[in-house]
Amino acid sequence: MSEELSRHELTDCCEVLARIDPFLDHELSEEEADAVRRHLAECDECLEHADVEAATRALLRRCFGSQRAPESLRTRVLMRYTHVEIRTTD
Amino acid sequence: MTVPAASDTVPQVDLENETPAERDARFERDALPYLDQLYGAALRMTRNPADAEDVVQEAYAKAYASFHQFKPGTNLKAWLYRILTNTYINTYRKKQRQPQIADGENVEDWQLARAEQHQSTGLRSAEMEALDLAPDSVVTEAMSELAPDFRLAVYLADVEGFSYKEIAEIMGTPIGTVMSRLNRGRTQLRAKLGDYARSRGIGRQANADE
Repeated sequence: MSEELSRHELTDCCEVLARIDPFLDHELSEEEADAVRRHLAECDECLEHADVEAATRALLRRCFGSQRAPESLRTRVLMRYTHVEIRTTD
Repeated sequence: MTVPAASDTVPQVDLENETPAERDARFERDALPYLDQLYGAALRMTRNPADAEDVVQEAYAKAYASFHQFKPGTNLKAWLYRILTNTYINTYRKKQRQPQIADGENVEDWQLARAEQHQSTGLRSAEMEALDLAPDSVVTEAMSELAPDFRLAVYLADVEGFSYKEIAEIMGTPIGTVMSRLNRGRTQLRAKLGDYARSRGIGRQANADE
């Protein structure tokens, strides 16, 4: 608990930068996330770093997000248990 | 009506009395909608559409065969990704005889590496704006150059939105290893994207403007 409290204020940019990824990944405790938010509100350099990180994630989602499986694969997957169903309804 | 009233409402499945036909229907209803996503992930793993199809088909066959072991109400998407990942590692990668990536780093390494990055070039906003306009292939090619374990960790976190804990379960590694792979994968990816942006003169131009 005291360890958690001692982290409340992040004044060192290195400490903040080490937490940007888990911050954006929603992996920090609320207290730590608030400490990062407070620092970002005051530090342009760390804020730009966080913005770029967030933009990189958005870029990845845009480039990979809309992948469609080929219809032939869907058919092959479906055939596996359509076959079983026929057997079981014998 | 099976529409749940709240997100924590688990649809009741009577596993003991479920007939094979009912289980097939449940598999098709619950597991098949993830086909596109699993195919996308398999493409990132294998970097080859034909191999991706094989891995996905085999993963679905395994998922179907062990679907009675899946606990309804738990995370089906993570369960399917785990089967996919195991299929890829045990079948495909073994077949390719690719060496496993040795990965003994711990959290301290991860934190150190991250802190060192403070001074590194990485990416700047101006470069990011340019990348927004770049064709998707620039990003997909940069991703495909990462080591398989790094690539998969980045994909699961950034594209699929899995938590560190879920990725650890999917990849069968401790959370510290997930964080290390994510950190290294993202750092390498940023470097590659930065190289691309600068090769187009974008970084230099932005500096000259300032």
